[in-house]
Amino acid sequence: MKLSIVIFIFAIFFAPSILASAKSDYDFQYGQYRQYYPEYRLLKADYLNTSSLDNQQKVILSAKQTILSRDLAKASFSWYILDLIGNTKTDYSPIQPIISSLAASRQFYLAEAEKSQTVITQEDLKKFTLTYTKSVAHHDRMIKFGIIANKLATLVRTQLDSNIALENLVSKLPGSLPATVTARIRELRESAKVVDVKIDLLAKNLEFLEAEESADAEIFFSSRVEKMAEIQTLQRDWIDRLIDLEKNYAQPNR
Amino acid sequence: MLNLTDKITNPEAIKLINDLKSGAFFVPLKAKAIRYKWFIISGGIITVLLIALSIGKTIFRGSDKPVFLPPDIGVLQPTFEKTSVSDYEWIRQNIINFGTELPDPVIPFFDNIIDLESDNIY
Repeated sequence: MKLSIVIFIFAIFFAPSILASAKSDYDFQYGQYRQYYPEYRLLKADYLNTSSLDNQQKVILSAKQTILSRDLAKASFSWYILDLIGNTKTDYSPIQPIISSLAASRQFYLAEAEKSQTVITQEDLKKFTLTYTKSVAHHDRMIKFGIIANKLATLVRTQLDSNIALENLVSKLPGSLPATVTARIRELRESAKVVDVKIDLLAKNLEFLEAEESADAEIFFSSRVEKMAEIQTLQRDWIDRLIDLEKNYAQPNR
Repeated sequence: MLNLTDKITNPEAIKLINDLKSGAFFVPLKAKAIRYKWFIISGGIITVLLIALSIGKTIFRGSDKPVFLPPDIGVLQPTFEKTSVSDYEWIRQNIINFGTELPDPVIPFFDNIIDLESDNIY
């Protein structure tokens, strides 16, 4: 019996990482939480109305199931964000501490999910939740920082791709170039640096290590939307100029 | 003058000639004409009307205004502007697809206080 439980828990923790994609795993785990949480709410309401031993046992079992699904869903969500960052294939140093912390938070959620299954009594549940609420705030913040880190990584990926595209285009251009074209290439290189600086500034203003609590503020996300939109506009303008250069000088007869 | 009775020996033909001469042949025809006179009159009127319509149509065709057509300038050929797809279009698409709304992905709601004591109702 114990062996089968161990195998089951092992399967829950490790099978999704092998068989499923991060997104589908998260969808599944969150679906489980959405199923169990309302049940727990109903049973808890019953118990608070009629505090019988039977109702207590029912709600404890339901609470354990809900906690398990909640922390597995959080772990999957963290993995999903890490996967998104990983897909950008960037090595942007300012977000590396966030990536490490988010990976640690994922381990925390997995450990809590496992720990929740040791709850037997109402007192156990109370202690578990008390300890959990004290330490979970940090990990929940890491998810928020992870979301910003993913956006930063995507912007950086675009910068890398754009720079590669520019060098590729320069190699295609004829040897003797008009002065205007040379000036436009120089202008593109300078503009790319301006965008790089803006991304660095956005990363620096995250204050991940200095002011972690800033993630609790309501403006944590909204204050960064405008900056990201500005960078996106600059990148769009940049690539339009590059494509214009390409059409006029690298492929005029295509 | 040719005398028909001298040469025609068929009694039925002779009788017919005599009937024509005496006018006896036309008596039954006259009776039929009187009997169906309204049909004959109606037929006559319709015939006259059809002839009148035909004449009127011919006169009208003759008085048609001449139609002026524009000179034939041939079939217009649509002009195609040669379009070329950039090798870097995918970068532009990536930039366009980049979502600036935050949080993205959306953080779902999780209840961190799961116990039997609190009465936190969401």
